[in-house]
Amino acid sequence: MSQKDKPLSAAPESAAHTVGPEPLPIWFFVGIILGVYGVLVVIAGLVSGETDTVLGHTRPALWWGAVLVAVGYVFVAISRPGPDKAEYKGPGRRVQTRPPSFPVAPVDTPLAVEQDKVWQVLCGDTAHWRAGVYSPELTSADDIVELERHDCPELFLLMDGEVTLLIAEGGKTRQIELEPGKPVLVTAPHSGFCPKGPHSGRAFVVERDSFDTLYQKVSEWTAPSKV
Amino acid sequence: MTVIHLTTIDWIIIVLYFVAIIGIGLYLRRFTKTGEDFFMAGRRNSSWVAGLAFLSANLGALEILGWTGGTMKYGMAVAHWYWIGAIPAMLFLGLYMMPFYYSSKIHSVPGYLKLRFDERIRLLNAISFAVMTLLMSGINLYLMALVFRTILGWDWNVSMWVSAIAIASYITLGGLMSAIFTEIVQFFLIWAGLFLVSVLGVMELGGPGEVFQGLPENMGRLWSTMGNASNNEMHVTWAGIVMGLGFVLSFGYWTTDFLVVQRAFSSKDLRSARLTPITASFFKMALPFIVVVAGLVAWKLTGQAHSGFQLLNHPNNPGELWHDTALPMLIARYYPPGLVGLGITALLAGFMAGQAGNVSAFNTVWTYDIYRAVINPKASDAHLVWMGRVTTIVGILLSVGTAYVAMQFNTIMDYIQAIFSWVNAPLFATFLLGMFWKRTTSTAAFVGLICGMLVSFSIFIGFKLFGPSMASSGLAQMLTFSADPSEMSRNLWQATWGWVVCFAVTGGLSFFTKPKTDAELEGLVKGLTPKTDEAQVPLIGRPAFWAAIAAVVLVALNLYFW
Repeated sequence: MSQKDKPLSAAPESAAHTVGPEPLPIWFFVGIILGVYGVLVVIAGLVSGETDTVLGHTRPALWWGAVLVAVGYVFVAISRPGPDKAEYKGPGRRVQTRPPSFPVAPVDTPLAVEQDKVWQVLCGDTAHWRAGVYSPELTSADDIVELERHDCPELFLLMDGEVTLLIAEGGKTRQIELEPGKPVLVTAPHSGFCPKGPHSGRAFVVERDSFDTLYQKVSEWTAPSKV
Repeated sequence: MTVIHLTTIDWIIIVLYFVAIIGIGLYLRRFTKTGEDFFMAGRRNSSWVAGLAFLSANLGALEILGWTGGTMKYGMAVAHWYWIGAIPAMLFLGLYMMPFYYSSKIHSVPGYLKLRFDERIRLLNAISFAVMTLLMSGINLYLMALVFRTILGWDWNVSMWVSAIAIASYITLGGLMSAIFTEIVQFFLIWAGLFLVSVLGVMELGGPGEVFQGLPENMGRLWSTMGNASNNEMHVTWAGIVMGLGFVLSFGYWTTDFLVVQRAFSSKDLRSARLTPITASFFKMALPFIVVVAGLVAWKLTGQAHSGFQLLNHPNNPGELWHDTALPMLIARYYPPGLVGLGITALLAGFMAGQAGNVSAFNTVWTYDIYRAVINPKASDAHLVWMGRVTTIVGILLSVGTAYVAMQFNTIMDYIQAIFSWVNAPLFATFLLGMFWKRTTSTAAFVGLICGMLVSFSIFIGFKLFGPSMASSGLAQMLTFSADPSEMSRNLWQATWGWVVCFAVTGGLSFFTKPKTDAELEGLVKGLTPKTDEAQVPLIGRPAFWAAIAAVVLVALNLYFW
């Protein structure tokens, strides 16, 4: 689960990596460097002509430079940033969560849970799971503008108070009132609210510690899909 | 006298390399905010990126020059260092050790030792590793300056300081991510700039068959001459190759040296981390097609009086041929302007990536295993990033200092091999017992490691100072199974004995000291770590599948060149 309208980041105590824009892939730089060098070597080959080096009559600068240009082009072509490449340009936004995405928690002792915090990651197991507490500040389904969907399932279990989930399913939304002692495994786009007031309920959440999230408006999740 | 003359286009190519790597560092700075970003490259890399960086951290110009020249002395046997001397260890690391490393959320190899054992052994390893990396970085710098002074006439100080400043810049800016990016660039530059030497050499000789035809058996075979030390140029038996190189030195380096293992830690998840060394193994197996082929071409040309090809004399020992100049002399022979610049850039990239790798490993070990562990345990993440940046600059300055010392006392190189067998070989015994036997105790591991390190170094000192006495007394025969062991053979056996002693002392003493409880060892030892569940992963995505393919290729290569 992630904070509404805010890219997910690990709890402040953990040494999390920066979530957000990713650097250009290394292959792009490799391609540029090989391509530029290839061009320079070809130019050198054209300028110097046949040289007195052994096998100089075969003009190795020309054909090897051409090979480098071709290889460089391939690397750039497969890795260049574009609409169908690394950056998602569709509706909504994507956020990546990668391990370690939880703080170092003390063991064999109760964990402190902050009050009035929408989402708090408590602990986890790298490359496996993480757990936290979700306490929405919104109080009505009508207040919810955006739903989020992870590429992994998420387990909710009501701790105290009241928490209701809003999910998008089959072109419409429906609500799931969490009940004490009855966990709910969620895979659909979702958000939540506390009908009795901001942060008046809390749910315990378990999810993977590495996943991607897509945020879209409610209307986009419930829009008819194009054939 | 310089043997390679650079034209304007060559200089443009060389200068462009510096511009590119510093530009990459500047670009990556904005993605380097937290400690995980700076020291672990954000743990976001795919197995391809981490795997190539893993290999490139090890691959350097020093190795390429050294083993090309080594092929002229030892023949095909040099390929052992790329095949039996690397691949089994890399596969073992990926399949069996990476789950313990990656899942224990450590930042460094000494960090694992702290969790598994205690602070004593972590500090011992951290300090010895820190010293080793600084020495290696400095030696790299010195040898780079020596090579470029000899073949290009470049001034010592200019070579060393320009490289040092460039490395300090991009590592300080972008941390491990910068190091990884430049290592991968270096990998492709080495193929782009140096593979052509082998191609042209094969063309000159008349084809691949001509390269291997007519080679004496002690030069052209991998294993058939290893039954007796006198049958091969290395003067080593198959036992020394298998045990000393294939097991002790190889496993000790590839599974415990943080310089390479750190690259696997930068992977985005456990499966990628396990695939990292396995991916790298395929590229490692291909490297002899640069190094060994070029070396055999050089050997053949040297034997042809009309070829005009000859090596330079060693600048420090004028009467001795300097085999490390084989590759530069081939570059001078075949490469016209433009390609010369590319070849020199490839060598430069190789040297600098080696130094950068050592410095990035040093700043991580210092920051997490010495500074945070002992000096300032309450340091914030932002402070640790600052410390990492400062340590990079200090580490580079210390490396430059070491390089100047090496200039005055060039026999320091003799001690480098000993350092690897002194630090890495016994450490592997500690890891083997620590990861796979929960009974291993902290006290036994600490004492065993010290004993192993002392034994390895003692054997080295013994041969260095009392070589003739050791030969005549039969001690040399007992330790190396050869009355007149080569330096290569001595290195392999001193590593082996260091491992054996560490293993025996650690194992034996564990029965008399108190082990940790199962709860304390959760996730750190086999049997107390959940097995990786790959039921949902298709076969082609499983590390074991690719490890099996690599093993088959390894066996095929060894059989073909038997």
